[in-house]
Amino acid sequence: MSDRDYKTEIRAFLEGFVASDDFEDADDIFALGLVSSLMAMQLVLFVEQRLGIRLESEDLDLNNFRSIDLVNSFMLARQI
Amino acid sequence: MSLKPPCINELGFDEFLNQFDQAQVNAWERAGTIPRAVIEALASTAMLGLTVPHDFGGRGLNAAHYGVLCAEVAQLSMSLLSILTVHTMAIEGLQLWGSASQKAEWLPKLASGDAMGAFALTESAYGSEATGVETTLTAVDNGFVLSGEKNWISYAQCADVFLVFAQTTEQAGASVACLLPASTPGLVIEPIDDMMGFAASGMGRLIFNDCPVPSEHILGRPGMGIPYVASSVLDLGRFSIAWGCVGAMEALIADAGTYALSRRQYGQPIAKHQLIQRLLTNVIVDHKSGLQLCLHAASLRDQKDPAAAMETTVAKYFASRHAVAAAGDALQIQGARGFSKNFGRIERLYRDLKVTEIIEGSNEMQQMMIADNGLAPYVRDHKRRLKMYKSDAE
Repeated sequence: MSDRDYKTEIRAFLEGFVASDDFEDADDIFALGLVSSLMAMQLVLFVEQRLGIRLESEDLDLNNFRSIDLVNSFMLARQI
Repeated sequence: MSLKPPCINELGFDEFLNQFDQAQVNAWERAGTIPRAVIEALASTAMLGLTVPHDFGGRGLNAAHYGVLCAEVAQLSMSLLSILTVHTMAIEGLQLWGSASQKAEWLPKLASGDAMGAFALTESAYGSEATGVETTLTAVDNGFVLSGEKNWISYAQCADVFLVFAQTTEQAGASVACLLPASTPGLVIEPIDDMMGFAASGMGRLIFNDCPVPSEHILGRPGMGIPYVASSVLDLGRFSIAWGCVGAMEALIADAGTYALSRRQYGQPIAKHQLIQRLLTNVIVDHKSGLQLCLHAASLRDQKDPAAAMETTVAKYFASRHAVAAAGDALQIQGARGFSKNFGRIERLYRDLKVTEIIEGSNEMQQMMIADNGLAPYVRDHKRRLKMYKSDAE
């Protein structure tokens, strides 16, 4: 596994949908109401496109997508 | 210049649409559903599996093709659009979340029309707040049992398999999606025949009396039901309805415009009266705007762009809102004739279109989504310009 970090890309992606700058990498974007339920699907598409993989049902624990830190960890674990 | 996207020529379903007249469509409304023979005729054109890959017996066409199909079907009957929509929503759920064996079992049947699908999420007490659904799925020795009820389910009376959403009793807050054949023991289907619109959609209520559900009928995992399966399937539903509204607007303009050109008052066609011209202008501009939003959403969907869901929401919100207004304007142009059940499509579309502001997420829910997540690009661009201006000034 490389030591690359996806946090900047994840934040840039989210900033296309979140008007506020006031959220930290560890913040739960769903619990804070920063994004709607649609974002779960959009994050899945983002991860699939960025990594060039198809996520399967067993990957899609909502807890993997709740914060920039968690999405980053998930992508690092799944990158080829 | 044709109003229709070029891909319409590849579909070849004019023959299907042209075999029905308004009297037949009105008869479907009175019967409360569309005869299976009509659905079979639609299936014979391979339109029921338009987006299903060739490997599963579909035509493997793209989102724009499907959208155009919805627009054309809506011009014939919004009830038929409703049936096509919920059937394709079941297909979408399987395509996105089904296992290999679930796809192999169901997609060919759904694509060919041998089985018709429907979508069962709404309950008497829970609609917009989908996470609150009270139907439960409980593990038992040899699988699961489904208990509860669903209300206002389009095509409930005739569908062969339902995509049902429930809460698992094992894990608090974990929603789940499952496939439930209409023949399942314990499933009671009660017709609903008192609705203002979509009168031929075969709407009904589903009552689950401990219906057995084998584990191989579960889509995805517990916890995925609402956030992933329902969200993505509703997204497809919104796409269908947005295109249907665009098709309906085209029908309204054609009917009201034809009438306005032939109806003479004060020595000239009413189409030459300025207040009628204002109405015609509004519906023409709204139709063209809605079509462009739908084409944009279709393009993003085909590119699997994450922005597709938001743009689909924008298209559904705009098209449904303006289609309802267009129906009012078109009826106003036709006057007493437009108010008649026997003069043409406008009276029916006036009733049918109202429900497009309610289904697949009410327009108030769409407004919340658009306001929450649609503002960011505008605010960020503005902030960026202000920052550049400030640095230039310094």
